[in-house]
Amino acid sequence: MKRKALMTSFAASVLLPAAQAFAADGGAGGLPQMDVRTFPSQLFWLAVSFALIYIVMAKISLPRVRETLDNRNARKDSHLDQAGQLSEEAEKVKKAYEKSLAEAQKKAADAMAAAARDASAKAAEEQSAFAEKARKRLAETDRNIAAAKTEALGSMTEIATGIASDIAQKVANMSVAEADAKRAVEAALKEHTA
Amino acid sequence: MSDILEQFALKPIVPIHLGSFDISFTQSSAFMIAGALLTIALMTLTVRGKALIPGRWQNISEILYESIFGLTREYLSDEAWKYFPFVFTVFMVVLMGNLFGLIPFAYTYTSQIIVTGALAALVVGFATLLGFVRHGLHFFSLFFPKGTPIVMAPFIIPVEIISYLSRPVSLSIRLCLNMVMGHMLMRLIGGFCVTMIALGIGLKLFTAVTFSVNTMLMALECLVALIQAHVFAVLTCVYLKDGVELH
Repeated sequence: MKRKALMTSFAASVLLPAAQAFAADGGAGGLPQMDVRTFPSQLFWLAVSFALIYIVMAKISLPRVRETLDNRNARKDSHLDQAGQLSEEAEKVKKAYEKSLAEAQKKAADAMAAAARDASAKAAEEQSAFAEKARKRLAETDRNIAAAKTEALGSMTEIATGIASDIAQKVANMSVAEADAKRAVEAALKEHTA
Repeated sequence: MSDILEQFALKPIVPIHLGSFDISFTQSSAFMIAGALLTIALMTLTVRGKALIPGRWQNISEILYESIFGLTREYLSDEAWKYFPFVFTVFMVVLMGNLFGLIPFAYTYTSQIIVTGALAALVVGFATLLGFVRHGLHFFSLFFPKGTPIVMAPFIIPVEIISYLSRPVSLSIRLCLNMVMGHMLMRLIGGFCVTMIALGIGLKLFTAVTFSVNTMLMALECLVALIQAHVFAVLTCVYLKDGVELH
């Protein structure tokens, strides 16, 4: 029963209208779209609305939207330009900074090198001055020693002569002339040092 | 009059007669004017401030503007601005007709073959006129593409002429039938739902399924409305390009 009712309702609601729609031939039963009597009215109002839209779009709306978009693009472009300029400037500043940094580093290195050079020069100078002084003192000392030596040698002959004549007096009990004693001592000395 | 076609019937609201012509103000006319007013309001009021940062409404007009202008520029490159208002108007008229039709009880004027036919005739007529104005009799070279062997002329030329003449036909019928079929199907399934409930023969689940199918169909029809308006605008550009450049 239920199934039959379902089939009937399906036929009533779907198949019948569809069949009617396509079976209808011309006149009042056909597609309302084909009713020629409605054409003038539709064409007239389509023309009115189309013209209305076209005039307002062409004269007001579209140029206005275009202007808005152009303004925005121009603004965007100018901002981008500005940003580009700023970044260029920043690059320049960075380069200048790096340059001055390098200069300062070079200057510092130069100063340090100069100081080192000065110090070593001074050290060398002082060293040579000291060496000169030491050499002089050494030479003087050498001279003093040589003088003392000759003096000592000179008085040694005299002492030896005295001792020799004294020994001859005491041992051989003979007096020897001072000149003879001196000669003998000199001869002995000569023999000894030869 | 049958059930599912009733929605396309025109009922005069204000009967107007101009001479022997009946130009009564019908529901169709009402929605044409409503579409025009909505288009004008949308495209004029929203950009009144020419805001640098667009609000929601201004965004809609800008998206419409940019999509259709992009399309026009793609086909007509340097001369896009000249023909842009025409393409935009055609697009908006079709779009408004399609979208308004999706509101229950509203009238879909793009389901009328006379309306789509008039629009198609306007587009193709304008393109043809443009071709004659710009190229004179050279316009006929459109029917004989360059580089075709002369022997082929008797075959190519009739084919090209038929394809050119079928342009307004295919343009108008495509849009009209898309709208008619969509609305008929929705009405059919909707009517089935109502009958099921009215007859009270249970199977609530079955009714629910049909109803949800209709809901999905509604979403599909929204898509179809947009796509068909876009297709109409694209073909308008293609035909204008033929008139301007002759291939």
